[in-house]
Amino acid sequence: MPLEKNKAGVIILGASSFPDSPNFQEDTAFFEAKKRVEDYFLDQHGLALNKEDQILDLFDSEKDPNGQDVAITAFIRKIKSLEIKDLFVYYVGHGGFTAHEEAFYLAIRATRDSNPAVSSITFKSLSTTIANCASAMRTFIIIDCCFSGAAGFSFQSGDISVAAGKQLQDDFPSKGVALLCSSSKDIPSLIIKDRNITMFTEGLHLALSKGDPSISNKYLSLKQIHQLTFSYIKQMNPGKDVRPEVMSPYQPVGDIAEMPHFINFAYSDPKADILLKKREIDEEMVKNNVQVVGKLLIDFVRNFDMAEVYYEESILIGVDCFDLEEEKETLDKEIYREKRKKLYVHIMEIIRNILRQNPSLN
Amino acid sequence: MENNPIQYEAQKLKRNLETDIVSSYSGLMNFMELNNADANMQKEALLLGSRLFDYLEEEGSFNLPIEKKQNILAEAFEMIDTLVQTPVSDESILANKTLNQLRDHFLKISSDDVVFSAENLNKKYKNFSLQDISLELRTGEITSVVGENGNGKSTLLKIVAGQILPTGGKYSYPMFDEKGNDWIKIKRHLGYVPQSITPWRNINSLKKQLQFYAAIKGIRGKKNDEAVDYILTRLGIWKYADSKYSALSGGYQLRFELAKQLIWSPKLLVLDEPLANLDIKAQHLLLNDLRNLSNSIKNPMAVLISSQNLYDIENISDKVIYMSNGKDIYNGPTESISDFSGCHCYLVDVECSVLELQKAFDSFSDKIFEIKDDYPNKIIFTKNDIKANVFLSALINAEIKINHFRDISNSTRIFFENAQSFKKNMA
Repeated sequence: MPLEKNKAGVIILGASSFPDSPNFQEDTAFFEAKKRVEDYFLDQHGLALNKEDQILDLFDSEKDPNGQDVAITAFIRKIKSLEIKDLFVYYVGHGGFTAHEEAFYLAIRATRDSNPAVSSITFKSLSTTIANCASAMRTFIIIDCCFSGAAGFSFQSGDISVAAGKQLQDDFPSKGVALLCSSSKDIPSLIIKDRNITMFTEGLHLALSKGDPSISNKYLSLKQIHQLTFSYIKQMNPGKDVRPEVMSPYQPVGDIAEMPHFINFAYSDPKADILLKKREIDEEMVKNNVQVVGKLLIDFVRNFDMAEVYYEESILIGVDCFDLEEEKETLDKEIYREKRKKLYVHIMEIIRNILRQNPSLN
Repeated sequence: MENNPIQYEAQKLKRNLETDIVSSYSGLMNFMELNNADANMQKEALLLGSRLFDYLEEEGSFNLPIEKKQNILAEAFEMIDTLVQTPVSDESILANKTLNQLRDHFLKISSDDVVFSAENLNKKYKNFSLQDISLELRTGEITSVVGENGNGKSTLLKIVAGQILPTGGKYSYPMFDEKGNDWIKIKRHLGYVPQSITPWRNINSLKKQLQFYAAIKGIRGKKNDEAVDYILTRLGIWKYADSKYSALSGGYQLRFELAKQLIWSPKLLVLDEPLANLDIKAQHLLLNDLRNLSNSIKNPMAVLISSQNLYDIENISDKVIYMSNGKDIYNGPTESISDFSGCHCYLVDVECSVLELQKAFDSFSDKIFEIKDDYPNKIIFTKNDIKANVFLSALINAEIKINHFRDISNSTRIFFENAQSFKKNMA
């Protein structure tokens, strides 16, 4: 089901500075990334969420992990009462893995890099909270992580999605969960200093807010958003692009990453596309569906003839099209074809003149 | 030869035309348009295509005699070569720019306003109740209501059409009356065709009666003539304009009733089982007309229609509501039914036993939820990742003869089956 206006909840996590973690580089790009994602959810032309009721902003919060968990729990309970069915969790900042358990954590403002396991949000605790509180919701977790060279970084793979996905397998909500994340641990390639934004969120924001004109659907799935994010990343950062990852490990009712959820802002309504409508008439003329051509011409003129010059003429042609088809069996083949050709030429002329109109006339 | 994009595309197009001239012909039309062919050249391409289809009609099949095919190909290739060699003129660049501006203009004015909105509609009768139906009807959208008889379809339609009042719930017509109680205002924008149509009087011709009806709705003078001529032609019923109502067949009586409702361009059209007495051709004609008329960008309308003809009606619907015992079991976009049920579903008529079918699906047996016998068909419920191509390949590889196949994953047909598969998923 597509995401409905006002019917989603968003939890924003992360930080732009880490005062107790000298190894975690502060960066305003994290704030800019958070801001763009927040803007997407608030956009009145899109999901138009209510900032107070539907967005929990814990970015740069002074709260410790327990305090943030309490806030997340209370927020999910609140949005459940609003009959919200889709939950987004967006994180931007530094991520890492604890030294001994290789537990994946997300650094927050209160994180101490000497012991991130107790001072950060661990992925395990986040997914447990979501599983306990948001069991009836579809959950999309979006992680834009910059790995620092912090002490304690011991995970070998370097691919965040593998680690996060593995931990997602243990415990998550019953309505399905999908994960989209940046995949590299390489800081320089993830923050675009010139534009003060993280590479992944820049691409993601473009994908969400611009959409894909080549996809003729009103809505895009998370997997399509993932592909589109990567293509924007490549376009914006030629030669330095890093491929994001998408995964949806637990899918009791179909893969939510494949369901069309997100508004495709590049979608143009085919019924209002004058060229598409012209092509429809052309195709029917080629197939010699004369009566259909008559009806389509009447519709075309009603919709697109701004000066209303061809209203009557189109009705007369519509009648001629019907008459001709009714007479087809009784007419000589060549005479029938000649009459039809004349009608076609007349129709093409009308369409051509309508296509030449100046839109400022209206 | 293939050293620039247009030449490359031209060669590709020629190869496609040689392989399958019928299916590839629209490619030639697109090639002409995209490469700024002048009006005359586009006209010649279209007329050549029309000739091609004349030949096909003469032959009565899709196999053209070699000589005729070669003649068409030679002319098509000549057009392609001429276009490739013709430099794009400044005039055509300018025309293209103007056309794009015009296109953008219409794309921007397209709208989908909410005509009717309801939350938790209820209607209580002694032996039946309609329960908590919420819906939103938008201009340009068709919403179909399906389900077995006696499950509340007509009750719901009558409430939306203002024929009966609900017992509970909130509703409004935001485009014309926010409170939903100014019926004079509302009915100025609302057309309703009930299940049984009240016969028209026989005193005047049908055209005169339509003119009278349009006049009642405030369409007078020249506009009255124009509106009547338009609707008679648009619905293909003008040749009965001078007839009397009693001379019409049931199908044409319905079309005239529809004309009567459409003549004053309502914003919301409610049709209760309009397909019931129509033959298949008339059904398709009516549904296509409804689709095109609701799509109008100058006078877009919302359509709410009930029917038992699932596949045909779902084919033109943007949203579908499946009713059972007064409840909406499914209420959402047509293309999201499989997301909701959590499974894909295929209806097949195959010449083999259930055991042989199971064997054909060996490689993904863990993804088959259920095989139901529905004589002469079988209905197979699978996990969502078993797409139609995978399913069909398995049947073809097992050399099973397929007489009929239909992907009903996004059809409410699945709700008519008492299948355990999706019940489990939806629980």
